[in-house]
Amino acid sequence: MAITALHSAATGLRALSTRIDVVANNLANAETTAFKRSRVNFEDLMYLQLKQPGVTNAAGDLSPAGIYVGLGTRISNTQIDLEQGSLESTNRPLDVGISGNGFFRVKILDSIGDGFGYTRNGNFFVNNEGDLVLGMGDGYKLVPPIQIPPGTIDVSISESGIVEVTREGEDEATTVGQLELSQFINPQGLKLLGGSIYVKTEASGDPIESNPGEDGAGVILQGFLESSNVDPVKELVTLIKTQRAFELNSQSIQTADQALQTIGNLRRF
Amino acid sequence: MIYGLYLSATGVQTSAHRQDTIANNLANAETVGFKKDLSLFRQRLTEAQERRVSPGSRRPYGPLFPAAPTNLLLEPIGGGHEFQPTLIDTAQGELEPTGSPLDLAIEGGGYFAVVDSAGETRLTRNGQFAVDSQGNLTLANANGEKVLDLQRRPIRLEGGAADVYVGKDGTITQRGRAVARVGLFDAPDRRRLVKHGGTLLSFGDQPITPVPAGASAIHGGFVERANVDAATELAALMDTQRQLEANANMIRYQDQTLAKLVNEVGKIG
Repeated sequence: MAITALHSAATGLRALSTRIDVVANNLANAETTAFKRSRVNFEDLMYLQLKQPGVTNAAGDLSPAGIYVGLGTRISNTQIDLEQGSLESTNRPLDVGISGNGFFRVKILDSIGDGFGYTRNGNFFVNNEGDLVLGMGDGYKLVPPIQIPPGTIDVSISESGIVEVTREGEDEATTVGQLELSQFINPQGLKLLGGSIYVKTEASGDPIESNPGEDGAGVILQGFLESSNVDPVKELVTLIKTQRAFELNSQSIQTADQALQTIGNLRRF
Repeated sequence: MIYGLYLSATGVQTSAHRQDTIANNLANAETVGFKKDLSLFRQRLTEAQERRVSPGSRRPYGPLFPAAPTNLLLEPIGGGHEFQPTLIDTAQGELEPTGSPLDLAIEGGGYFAVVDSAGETRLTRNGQFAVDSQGNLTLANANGEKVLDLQRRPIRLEGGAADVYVGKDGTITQRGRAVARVGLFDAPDRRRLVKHGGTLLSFGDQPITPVPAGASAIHGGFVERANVDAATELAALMDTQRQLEANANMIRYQDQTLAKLVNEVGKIG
């Protein structure tokens, strides 16, 4: 009876309000470097069979279809959209953007995943020990480590990730390291840790290491940062759609409520 | 008198059932590939007609028709209202651009085939695909049902979802090389379509056959929205609401008449 309608509509409200949360997070991160937008996917719930198909009727015929009622909707998953964000010029030598599919690897806490985090945010700094570290949060160290020696006046990073430094009083640049990129079979299976760090999961598969420019890992662009790939117009359209669908479901609730009220008041003494 | 009460009750029952179906349709208004349900009614035949007792040959209490209706006056009155098997409206949903290369939408007839966790082949119009850690093309949901090609084999993408392009005929091109072809399947009797939840469908025991080449088109970077039209559903919801109330009122009136009959007629003094 109408109770089913109440519950179905409630599943709709719950799923849709989660989508509003996800869209709000996307919009909040519209200016976050290397942020990847997420998308909520829905699926229908199971069906309540009131009458099975293939039942023989009084005339001896088989009914071709049964009678059923669906029980609403749920979120099947949230999917990261790893589309390339636009590369914005910053002219800062330690800002590097990836044009392609790869991720930088950084050392995070051993207790999380395999102890490594993966990020596309190439906003690097040099810490007090001369290591190249991520600019945000806890200053995670790049893997494999790259040391910028003291007295460096210029750092140049090539498209293939070779890091060269020019020290004071030297004419020629010396190579201090090579940036590596990690790729995943299923990057959408990575877990989001926040701070633009992703960690590997069983679903993502193991990282495949390669040098920039090889195996489709993408190339490195020095002096660029990858912008967030959130498209505000798209998000706002989703927000509008979601709000309307939310309202529709609240109509179902009201109608089901009225129906129950009508039925409940059938007998008045 | 009592018979009329039952007729009105079937009206309330079917209206409440239709509300449940509409609530499910509205809850799934944002579910990709969802096909809405049509909750249909029909006039119930009189009991005599259902039992195939023609009025001319009726012999109440006779040996031939032991269960023939006892009240001849009820013969010309219908039997009220009953459900007809729930039908799935397979009308085309709108195609919405997403820009994601693994989002596929079907224009025309046919379904994607996937294998569920029990090894059963299921059909779906939901083309939101992902790649698992082994490189298999799967549905982007918690179960990750594997998507089948035309020969009903799982589709494997080398190196994951990178650089994938899907053509109109379902051919998946990766780095300029055709690697697989997504299968589209259909069966002749659409009334046999059964929903299994999670946007999965099947044709029961009816065999499925590949859709002839060129009959339907696959669009990469698009998803098919649910074919739920808010205006139609809300109008149906209002209509159903009033129908339910009308029948509930009829119950009340008959109850009052009955009360009068029982309590007042024949009252002495």
